[in-house]
Amino acid sequence: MTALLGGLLSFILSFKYSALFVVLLIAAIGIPLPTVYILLAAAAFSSQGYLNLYVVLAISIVTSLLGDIGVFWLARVVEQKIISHAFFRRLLTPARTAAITAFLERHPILTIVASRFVGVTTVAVNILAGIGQFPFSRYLIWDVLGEVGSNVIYVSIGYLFGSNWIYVAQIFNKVWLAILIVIAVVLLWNNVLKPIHRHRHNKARG
Amino acid sequence: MRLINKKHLLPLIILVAMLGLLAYVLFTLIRDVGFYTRGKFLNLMHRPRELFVGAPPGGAAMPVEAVAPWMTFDYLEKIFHLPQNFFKDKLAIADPRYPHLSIQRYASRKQIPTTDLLMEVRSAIRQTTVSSTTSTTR
Repeated sequence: MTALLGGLLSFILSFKYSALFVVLLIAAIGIPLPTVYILLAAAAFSSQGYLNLYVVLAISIVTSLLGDIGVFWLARVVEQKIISHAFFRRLLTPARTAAITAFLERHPILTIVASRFVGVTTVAVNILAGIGQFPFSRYLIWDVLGEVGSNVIYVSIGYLFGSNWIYVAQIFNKVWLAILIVIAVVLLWNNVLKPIHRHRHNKARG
Repeated sequence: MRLINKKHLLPLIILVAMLGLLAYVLFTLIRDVGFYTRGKFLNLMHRPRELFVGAPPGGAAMPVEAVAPWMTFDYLEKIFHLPQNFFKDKLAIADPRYPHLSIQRYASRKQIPTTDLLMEVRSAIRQTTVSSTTSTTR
């Protein structure tokens, strides 16, 4: 266990719900903290009778939603400032921004809902949805669905496994890492290697 | 015609590296799952274990060996069903932050090795759980 995680858990044990609220909110706005570990641990503390399960669940859902909505609106508000920067203007062309929004609208479960299960992807999708001017009401529906689903699942698992939460968290981390690598491999294959191969094949055929 | 050209090389290297990393992650994942669950999956699960097998000795929610430096004295008193100020009396703790103080924090404030304090805490819990089990048996 890292010193950071140990310190955060001590903080939660000392100040209970207020500490849990602060830590999860900081994580929800995009500061890289071990959220899954903290959530599983808090649920485990409630299975041991130290915290209340429903309060832990409520705090985790509320902080996740507050963080998501905050990042979404921040990205939307500062969008023009970001795009005025030369580097981002080249990266986020109007065509690409429209493509991102269209993709989010076509696959909300695959993007907004699924990304709620991994901290890093949650923040990335929130920023993209904000920059892409994705309709807020539709974003909110999918966000609530995703956050309620992911938090209920994580808290239930923590509650079920109790003091063995650390082993479960380690397994979870590896499963998510494997999924992210598979996604990266598929994206690399589809967007880089396949077009090059197709281009060469067409050139060879004349 | 060359099999791999310059344009292909970098994405291919990244792809191979990713596949290697994926293989390593999957290998460690399978090893960990096997290690944690070998023949006693129910034992890992706290609630079903309590329902079907019963709580660990002393009625606590976890074994004494699982006590870690990040745990606070308040938390330990509650989950091991110890009396209030148990560690304060047992280990002569005079810190005003007690019981909302972790083992590690107290050890660093007192400038004593954390492992030594951890051993003392574990042995204090063990003595109490053993004596309470003995008195219940009688």
